[in-house]
Amino acid sequence: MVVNQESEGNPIDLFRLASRWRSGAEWKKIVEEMDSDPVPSHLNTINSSGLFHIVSMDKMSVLYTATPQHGHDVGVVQADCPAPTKRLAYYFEMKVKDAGQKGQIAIGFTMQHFKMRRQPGWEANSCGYHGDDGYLYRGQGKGESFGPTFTTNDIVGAGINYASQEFFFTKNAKLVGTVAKDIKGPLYPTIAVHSQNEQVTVNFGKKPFLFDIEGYMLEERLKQQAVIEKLSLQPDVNYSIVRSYLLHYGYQDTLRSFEIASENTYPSVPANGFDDQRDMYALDRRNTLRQLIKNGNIDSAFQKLHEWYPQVVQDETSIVCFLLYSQRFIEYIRVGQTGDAVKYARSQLSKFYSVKSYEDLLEDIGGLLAYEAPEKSCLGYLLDIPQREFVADAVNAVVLSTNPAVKDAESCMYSCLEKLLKQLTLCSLEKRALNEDQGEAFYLHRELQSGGRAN
Amino acid sequence: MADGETIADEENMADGQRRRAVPPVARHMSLNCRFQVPTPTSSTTTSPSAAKKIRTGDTATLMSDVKLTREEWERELEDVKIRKEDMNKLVMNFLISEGFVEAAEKFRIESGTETNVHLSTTIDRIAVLKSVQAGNVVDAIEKVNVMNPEILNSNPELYFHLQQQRLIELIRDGEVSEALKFAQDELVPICLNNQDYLEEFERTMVLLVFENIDDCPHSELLGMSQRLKTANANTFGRSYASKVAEDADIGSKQAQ
Repeated sequence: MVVNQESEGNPIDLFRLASRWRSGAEWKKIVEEMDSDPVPSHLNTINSSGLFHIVSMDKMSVLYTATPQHGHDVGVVQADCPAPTKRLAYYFEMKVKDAGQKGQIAIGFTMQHFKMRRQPGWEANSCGYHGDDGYLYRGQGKGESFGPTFTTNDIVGAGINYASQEFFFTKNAKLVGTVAKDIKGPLYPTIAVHSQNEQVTVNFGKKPFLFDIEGYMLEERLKQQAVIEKLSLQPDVNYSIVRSYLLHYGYQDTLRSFEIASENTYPSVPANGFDDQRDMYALDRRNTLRQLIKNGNIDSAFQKLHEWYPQVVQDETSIVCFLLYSQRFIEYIRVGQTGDAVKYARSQLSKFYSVKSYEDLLEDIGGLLAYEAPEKSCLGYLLDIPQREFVADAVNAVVLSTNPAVKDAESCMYSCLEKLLKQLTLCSLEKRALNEDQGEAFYLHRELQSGGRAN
Repeated sequence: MADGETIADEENMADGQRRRAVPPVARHMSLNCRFQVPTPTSSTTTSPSAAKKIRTGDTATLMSDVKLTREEWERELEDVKIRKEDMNKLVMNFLISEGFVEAAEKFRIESGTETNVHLSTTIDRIAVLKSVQAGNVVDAIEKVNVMNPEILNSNPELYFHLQQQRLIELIRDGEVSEALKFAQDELVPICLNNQDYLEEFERTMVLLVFENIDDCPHSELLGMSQRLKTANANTFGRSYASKVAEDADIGSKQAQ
């Protein structure tokens, strides 16, 4: 535990370090929860009237079976849930199997309590692209000329572009047009048939779309990127951020190499707001400790800590001690010395069982004993680099907090880069929330996945 | 198809009735929306927005209505989850794209961050980058063409910037007649159909007018920043080339 002169001995919660996400499985679950939005998968049979039309058993097609008499016997079907909003755009397609007698087919979006016997677009707060006249209807009986008509064997698509707040429609892989979306609230993908024997099949994404929706979204992202590129930043702000990152975590070799290589490009500018002095504290020692932990030499790491910063390892049940003892156990397992591992666990790890927050990790490392080849098991992540990085970062944070110039021990856990990224993420989420939660938010792992596509 | 009934109805409906259609439905729907928003329970959700919407409890969430205290913001910041692995990847990407090859290698060792960029293409890229930084654009263009002749053909903007840089170097070295000839022969044809290039080109030509180039309003063109802009445009162009080079590399290996 870190005891600062000012604090009352409140330990910093090392489980808030960015490196605590070292299990691939755990992170995957976290990611799935981020922006999870239910996605339409089939047609809703519960609220469709079933009087004039039949929805197929697989809930992906609809057939108009009656004889239409007037404007209140349209066979309308909505998707099982509204279009997800936490993305750049949503899109679905419909194939006209049979245009029937009059080809009065429509595709569009409606709200939950839409009058289910009317064409989408004929009622307020709905929008529909009609196949018989190629008109777009958005809330009134009269529509406006919009695009080509469509009939048997045509594949038409409808989508919502949350960035530009527009509806867009496609026919046979070509964009037909866009129209402003001025409806607020959840919108259900909707299809409709209205004359004898009309039949359509819908595709909510299980099969590949005919229209290049990825390309369309890429274009939109490039537009946004172009706006971002127009912003001018201080020329060496990148350099400062990276330098501060390397300093914070004590990556000394990289830092030296980086500084030498950038001597000519970036004349040393005392960047404003960056706490260089604070980050440089105990750089050598932190680097030494990191190297020891990285090489699995936990005993030496402990010894050095006792020598240099005894206050950090004073409390034997602190998080940093727990992590170090756990890591020592893991190192025994790594080299196959299971006997020694058990002995070690009995003597050193037993004192941690009373602490509730250590339960999960204790269970996991104990579980390693169960496997002949632990690295291949689901607990294998404990033998990997990110686990060692976590322990090294924990030690790094507590050492940084021994700096008498540091008032707030918590801040020793986060580099400038991390703080910036967090602000960026939260701002983008806020911005989206003010836009009724529509659109893409910034997530670092997503940006990295799409690897420089905007370049 | 147009709705025969509604049109007839519209003609018969009184004005008040018609206007009724939109507003109540809209508000009703947004209220529905609000109650459907899940309440954040554990700290594993990253939807601070949800909590706030329920707090304000108003139909229209205007910017002026949203009041956040600093504590609330900081608490929500703590809920944002970022992986160390990803930050390392970001830094690695920076080191490689900017050409800090040795630093990238050291970083790979010190942090265990892997990268799939081939070192060979990186070294080539650095060579191009260094040429531009040293003011030797002719050499840079040659190197780019050796690496991947298609790059300049498919990136006209990159080509324009390289040629513009060459012009700037000629002016900086005081080679006035050479500069004029180069401008007429090489740059004018590129700029003919492109308004943006034309404007940039004209700005560059203004440098010629001043005896003391530091007096020129566009003297920043001469500075390091312009060289760096070109060099970086080069490296971004490189990421395509890297991919192509890798594909070609893999392809030729498979063919063997």
